[in-house]
Amino acid sequence: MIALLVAVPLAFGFATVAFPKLSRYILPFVALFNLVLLLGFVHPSQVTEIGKWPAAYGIVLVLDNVSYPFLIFVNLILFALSISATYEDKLGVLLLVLTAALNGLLLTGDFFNSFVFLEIIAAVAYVLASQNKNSYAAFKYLIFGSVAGILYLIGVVSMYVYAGTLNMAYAGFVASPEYVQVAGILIVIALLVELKILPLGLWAPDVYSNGSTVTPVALGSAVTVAIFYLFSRIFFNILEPVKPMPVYVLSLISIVFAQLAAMKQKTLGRTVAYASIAGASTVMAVLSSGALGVEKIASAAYLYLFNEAISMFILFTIYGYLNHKGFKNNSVAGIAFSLASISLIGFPLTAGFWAKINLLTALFEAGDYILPAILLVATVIEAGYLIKWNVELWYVDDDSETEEMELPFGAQVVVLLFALALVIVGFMPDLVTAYTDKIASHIFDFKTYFDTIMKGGM
Amino acid sequence: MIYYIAFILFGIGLYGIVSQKNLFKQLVSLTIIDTAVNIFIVSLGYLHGAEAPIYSSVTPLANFVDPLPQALVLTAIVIGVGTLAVASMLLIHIHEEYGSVDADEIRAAKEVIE
Repeated sequence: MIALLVAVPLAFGFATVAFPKLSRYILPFVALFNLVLLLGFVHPSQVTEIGKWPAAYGIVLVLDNVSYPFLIFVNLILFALSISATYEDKLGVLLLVLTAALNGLLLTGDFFNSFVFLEIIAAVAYVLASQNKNSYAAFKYLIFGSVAGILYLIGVVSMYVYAGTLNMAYAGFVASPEYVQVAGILIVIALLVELKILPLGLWAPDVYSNGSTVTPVALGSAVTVAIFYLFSRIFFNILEPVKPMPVYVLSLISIVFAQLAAMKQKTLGRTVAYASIAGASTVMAVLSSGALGVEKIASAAYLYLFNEAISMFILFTIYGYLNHKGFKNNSVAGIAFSLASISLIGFPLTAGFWAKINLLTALFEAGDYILPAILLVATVIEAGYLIKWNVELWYVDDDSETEEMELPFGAQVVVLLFALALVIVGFMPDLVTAYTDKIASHIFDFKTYFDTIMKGGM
Repeated sequence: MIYYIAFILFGIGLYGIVSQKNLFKQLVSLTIIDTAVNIFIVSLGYLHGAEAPIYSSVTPLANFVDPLPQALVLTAIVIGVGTLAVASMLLIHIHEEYGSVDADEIRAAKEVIE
C-alpha cells in the first residue's frame, strides 16, 4: 500500500504530460490522497518489497516511526503549495514527479534507490529554478548539484564495495565503521550541497530569489526537510557517524556568514534566501554538534526544522506574490508575514520560541556553549533585518501608479493558516514535540530499523 | 590500469569545471566526470578472466563478473543524459537571454540589466 505514495503521483505525472492544464488541477488531489492514505490507511511499521525480492537482495520501501511524520509533513507542504502557488500549467507535471520522488526518498531503504530519487528531485529542481528568466542561476545550481550527485553515487558504490549490499539496514549491520568513512564523507559532502550549507550552497541565493511562488517554497521547505531526513537516516540510524567536527565548524561558519549576508541584502527575496541558508545551517550544526545520540537535542533540531520550513513557506510565498509591495492593501499577507517573522526570531508564544529554547537548553545540558552563543548572536542579527523589512513593508509609500498586487484567495488562506499554526504550536508545543520526540527516540535505534526491514528477509 | 583512466578523466573534468568561463565547456567537463565515474564503477565489478553475466549453456555460473555495478551504471547513464538535456535547455535559454554563454559576459550583462 505504501508504494502508492510513489506510484500514484508518478502515474498521474506521466498520464498528464500531454495535458499540462489537467496536471495542475490533479496535483492538489494527489497530495490530498497521499495525506489521507498516510493518516487513515497506513501505519508504521510497514515494509514493501519491490518485485517481491526480500531484503537485502531487493529494494524495500520502509514506513517506520521516523519516515512517517516526515512523510505527513512533506505531503502537507506539497498540498499547501498546490493551493497557494501560481505557476505555468506545465509545471504541474514536474510537481507531480517531485511529489513522487520526495515520497520515494523518504520511504526507500536502498542506497542506490535514494540516489535515483535524489537525482529526480534535482532534475525537477533545476527546471523550477529556471523560472522567471533565471536560467543562469539554475545552470550554476545544476553544476553544483550534478557534482554533488556524482559524489553521492561514488559514496553509494563505495558502500556496496565495503558492505556487499545496497540495502541500508544490512549495510549498517555488516559494514565496519572504519571502512565506510570514505563513503560517509562523500555522501555528507553531497548532502551539504543540497542543504545549501555555505560555501557549498552558494547556488541558493540566486535560485531562491527568482520571485517565483513555487521554486523557493518547494526547494526551501519540502526538499530541505526530505534531505535532512536522509541525512539523519544515514548518519544516525544506519552508519556510525562520520567525525562530525568539520561539518559542525562549517555549519557554524555558514550560520554567521548567511546571517551577515542576509542583513546586507537590498531585496527581500535575497534576504529571505540567506535567512533560509542560516536556518538550514543551524539545523545541520545541531545535528553534527558532537552530542550525537542525545535524543533531546535531535528532537529540538527537528522542531527547529518544522518552524523554519513553515516560516520560510510563508515568507517566500508572500515575497513571490507581492515582491516589495507593502501590506497596506494586503493585511492578511502582512499579518502572516509578521507572525512568520516573529516565529523565526523566536518571540515567546510562537513555535520558534520553543524551537530555540529547547535547542539552547539541550545544548547547554550537553556542555556545548559555542553553538548557543552563535545562535544567540545570529538571532539578534535576524531580528534586526526581519524587523526592518516588516517596518518597511507595513509603512511603504505605495505610489498609486504602480500595478496593484495581491495574494489570491487560496494563498491567503494557506499563509494565514500556517501562521496561525505557528502561534498555536507556540501555545501548545506538545502538538509537534510529540512527533519530534518520537522521531528522536527512533532515529538512534538501529536494531528496530534492522528488524523491521529484515522481517521475512535474510 | 582502468582505474587510472577513470582518475585522469575525473581530474580533467574537475579542472574544466573550475577553470573554464564558457558554460558549454563546463557542461562538457561535467559529462567527462560522469563518464569517469561510470568507468570506475564498471571496473569495480570486473574480474580478470571472468565471463559476462549472461546465463547460457556455455557460460559457467560461478565465473561471472559482478553484474550489479553494470546495472548501476546503466541507470547512472540514463540519469546523466537527463541532466545533460536539462543543462542544454538552460544554456539555450541563457544564450537567448544574454547573447552569450561566457560567465564574465553574462555577469556584465546582468549588471547592466540591474
